[in-house]
Amino acid sequence: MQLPVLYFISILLAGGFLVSNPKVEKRVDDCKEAFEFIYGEFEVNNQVEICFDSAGIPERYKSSVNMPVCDDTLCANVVLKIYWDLAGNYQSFDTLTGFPLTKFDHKKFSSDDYTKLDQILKNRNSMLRILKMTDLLDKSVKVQSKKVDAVTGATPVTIRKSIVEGAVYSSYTLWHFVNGSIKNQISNFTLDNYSEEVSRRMLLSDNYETQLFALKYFSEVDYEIQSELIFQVITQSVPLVKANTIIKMPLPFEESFKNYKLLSLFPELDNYSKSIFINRVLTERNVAEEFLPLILNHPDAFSKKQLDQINSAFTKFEISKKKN
Amino acid sequence: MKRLNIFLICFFISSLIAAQNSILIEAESFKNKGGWVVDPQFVEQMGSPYLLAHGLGIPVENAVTDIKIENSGLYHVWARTKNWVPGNWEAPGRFLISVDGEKLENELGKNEGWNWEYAGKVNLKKGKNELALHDVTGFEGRCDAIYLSTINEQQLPENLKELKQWRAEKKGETILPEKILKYDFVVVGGGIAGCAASIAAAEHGLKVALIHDRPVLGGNASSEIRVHTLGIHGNFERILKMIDTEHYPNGSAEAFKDEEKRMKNMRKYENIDLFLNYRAYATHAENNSINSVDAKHTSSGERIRFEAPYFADCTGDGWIGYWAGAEYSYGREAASEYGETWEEHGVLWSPEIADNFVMGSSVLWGTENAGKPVDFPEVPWAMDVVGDHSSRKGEWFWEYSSNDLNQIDDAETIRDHMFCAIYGSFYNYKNQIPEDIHPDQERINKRNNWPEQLKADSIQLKWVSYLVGKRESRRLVGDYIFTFNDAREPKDFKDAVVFEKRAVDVHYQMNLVDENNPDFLSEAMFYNTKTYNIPYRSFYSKNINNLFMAGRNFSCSHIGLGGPRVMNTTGQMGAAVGIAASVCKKHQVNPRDIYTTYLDEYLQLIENQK
Ligand SMILES: Cc1cc2nc3c(=O)[nH]c(=O)nc-3n(C[C@H](O)[C@H](O)[C@H](O)COP(=O)(O)OP(=O)(O)OC[C@H]3O[C@@H](n4cnc5c(N)ncnc54)[C@H](O)[C@@H]3O)c2cc1C
Repeated sequence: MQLPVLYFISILLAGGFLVSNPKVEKRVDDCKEAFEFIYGEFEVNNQVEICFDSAGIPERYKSSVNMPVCDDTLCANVVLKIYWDLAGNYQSFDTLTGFPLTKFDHKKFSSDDYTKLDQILKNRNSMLRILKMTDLLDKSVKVQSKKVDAVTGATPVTIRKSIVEGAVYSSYTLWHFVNGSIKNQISNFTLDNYSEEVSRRMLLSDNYETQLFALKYFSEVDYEIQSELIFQVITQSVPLVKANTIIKMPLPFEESFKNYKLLSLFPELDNYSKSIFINRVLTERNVAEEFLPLILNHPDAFSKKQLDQINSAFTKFEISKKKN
Repeated sequence: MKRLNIFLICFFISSLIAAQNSILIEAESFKNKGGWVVDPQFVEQMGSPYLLAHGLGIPVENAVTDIKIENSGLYHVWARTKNWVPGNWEAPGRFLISVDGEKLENELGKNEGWNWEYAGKVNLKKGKNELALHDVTGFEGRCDAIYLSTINEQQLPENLKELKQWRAEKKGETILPEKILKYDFVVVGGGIAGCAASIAAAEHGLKVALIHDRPVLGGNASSEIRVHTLGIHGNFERILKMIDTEHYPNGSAEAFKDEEKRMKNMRKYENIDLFLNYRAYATHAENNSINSVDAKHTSSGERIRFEAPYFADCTGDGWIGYWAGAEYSYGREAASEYGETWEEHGVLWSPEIADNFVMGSSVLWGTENAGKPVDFPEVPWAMDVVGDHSSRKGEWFWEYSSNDLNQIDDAETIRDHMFCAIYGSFYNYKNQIPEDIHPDQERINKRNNWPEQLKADSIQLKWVSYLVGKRESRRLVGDYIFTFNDAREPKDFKDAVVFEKRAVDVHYQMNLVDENNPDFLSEAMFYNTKTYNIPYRSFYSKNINNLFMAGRNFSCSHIGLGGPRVMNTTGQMGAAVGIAASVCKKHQVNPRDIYTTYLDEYLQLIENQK
């Protein structure tokens, strides 16, 4: 959303207009050099910078790219500023004034094209992952260029959703660049500079992959010490993160009010997370002993099938159904 | 005392007569099924094939049958049925029963779960009476059986075990099936895998029985489910071209054309006996060897015992192996179990601890333009499932899985959930009022003039499958368990018989990562591979000596299934198994011996048949 707006503003600036838009926050990144990234295929060296918030806590990474995206004269170099989050997940891009992205025949990207490109780059399941460059053009259909005396192939229908039409190579190259090995290098850099604040920022990210990354490095004691943070994660994340937090958390908590607190979150939980929790109750005696009596306070939070499973756990672990 | 004895004797005789004044009619055996369809998919869970009023919202034509009554009198009538979406609305699948044209008082299909509902009472004449099922809603009403009795029996059996016994008694069924047939090779399940297994075995001289619970062959590729076949043909191009499909869009009626080809080609083989509409329901195994498989006709109930030295489980659900006590797996292994981690997709790809969240099942559907406005009824019972999701067609990603639901045991729940997803989304599509685009009321009132709305008004449901298309359930364990790593770093198996190069893809439910999505949509993750191969050892059971398996129930891990589950690949498995069975027969040995002793001969046969 932010992106086309920025682009729009950059056009206005270039054209000598200035429109004040309260939605765009003026911000100067406080960044410093992080590492150099060599993107082999295009032999492009990119300086990757790490940027900090006003409190000096790492916030994101950025890199300016200027790369050729095709081997003919029909498209211009891609010049962009690209941002990743702390786990190396692509966040957004910015154009640089005077360097709009272009399509086939040097036609400029429309604002829809920018939005689409941003979505394409964010799609981790993009078909582009498994396609080869050679799959991108349907060589049987020739498209005549109006400006240059050349022909090129048309885009096969099956991949139209995965690319910006007329900018097949840019879509492809950028997807592989922003989602490729740079991701690991960024996350490794983050790990080398890890701190409680960084961990917290990642856990509360709105990118589930970033949250899962941080969970991986959350130690057993962290769960007990930072239980409030974990409850917050459980409350505000997508089911995949919620469930994986429940899978990983050492249970029961030593302090029983935390166990109460955890269970009080259940009515709002998704089905997957509930079933993961029930599975722990069914298979781990100490979890069953602590939570089974508490579960009785929340019968409405579980489906009939889940309640049957809960009942079977009472029997299995010979726990009395006395209400707490 | 004497009087009491006489009284007791009279009571006994009268209750004996009364007991005879009852009749159980299986709905699926109705002579004229009208617009109702036979649904045998959930026999193991609810006890029997049943009739389904699959009218896509328009009540279907009556199913009618004659019953013969020995003693006239007042009969009480029950139907075994189910309210398939219980809630605060009128049950979606209601129907009535009539006798000789007279409708009984109670609408049926109203109680939660499969159970007997009381339809009413009626005077029946001696001799022929006509019984009919009247669909009221067109929305998946279902009737398993009808029971008539002169006694107002309070308690009809609900528990599956008791019900089974009660049914057998009422129908006077013996333990042994009526017919016993002998074959060289019995293949159960007529999907692409089962068809290929039958052809390959027949071409190598075996007398084959192919038992399939549908009227047409092809499984997920049939006109009843309409998925196109993907993957390569490997060593079996000639065979697979007889049964595969074009690359039509999933759900397309083009599936009929390929089905015609398939049926014609299968019928060409004189030594394949097709047992269509027979569903296998039991195996008889001794000393880890299967002696026979019993199957039952899905309408008439006729039972046949199939004896053979070798069996192939191509049921997709691994039923034959399961009944025979074969080792099997279900669910997603922990990533660490076989080292199947793929960092790119982390726990979406492979979980940290094992769970039951397998790839889900789908119900495909499509619409057409009627050329004039057509109504679609309200479906309040579907709205909890769909929310405001709207759509005019389904695709492969209309898929439902949940960690709590088993793709076999809960298959009816899953199919019914998809029915709600389809009818609810289509209702929303027909009734979209884009207030957010045009907030002023005047414009809303004019909405009927908008081209898109006009189009939606004329769109009607064309086809909704009632068969649940499955991707993954039981996987029988063989001598080799094929995993992701065998595709990621292809091995050079000396017993390689199946080849594939299609990317590995596994699915996850979209709402796991974005709760704005309804729970019935999935997304695929693709892993690109080079050509990989699957060893013969993944196609026979580890512990049942004479059992082969081909199709999605072959020996693999959850991620291992991701690549080869497509139907040209499962077809290759079938063909490989069919030829192996012929070598087994020739040497009177078991499937494992082909690997240990006769591998060269076997591989040569595969070469020769190309
Ligand atoms: C929506 C959807 C989209 C898919 N997309 C593709 C695709 O594009 N291309 C592709 O190749 N694959 C696709 N797949 C996967 C593929 O269709 C399945 O993996 C397929 O099930 C594999 O074939 P099969 O022969 O093993 O099983 P099936 O096709 O399931 O055949 C098994 C048959 O056995 C019958 N049967 C079961 N139990 C019994 C019994 N007890 N007695 C008698 N008969 C029995 C069943 O009725 C069934 O027809 C898709 C699947 C789905 C659901």
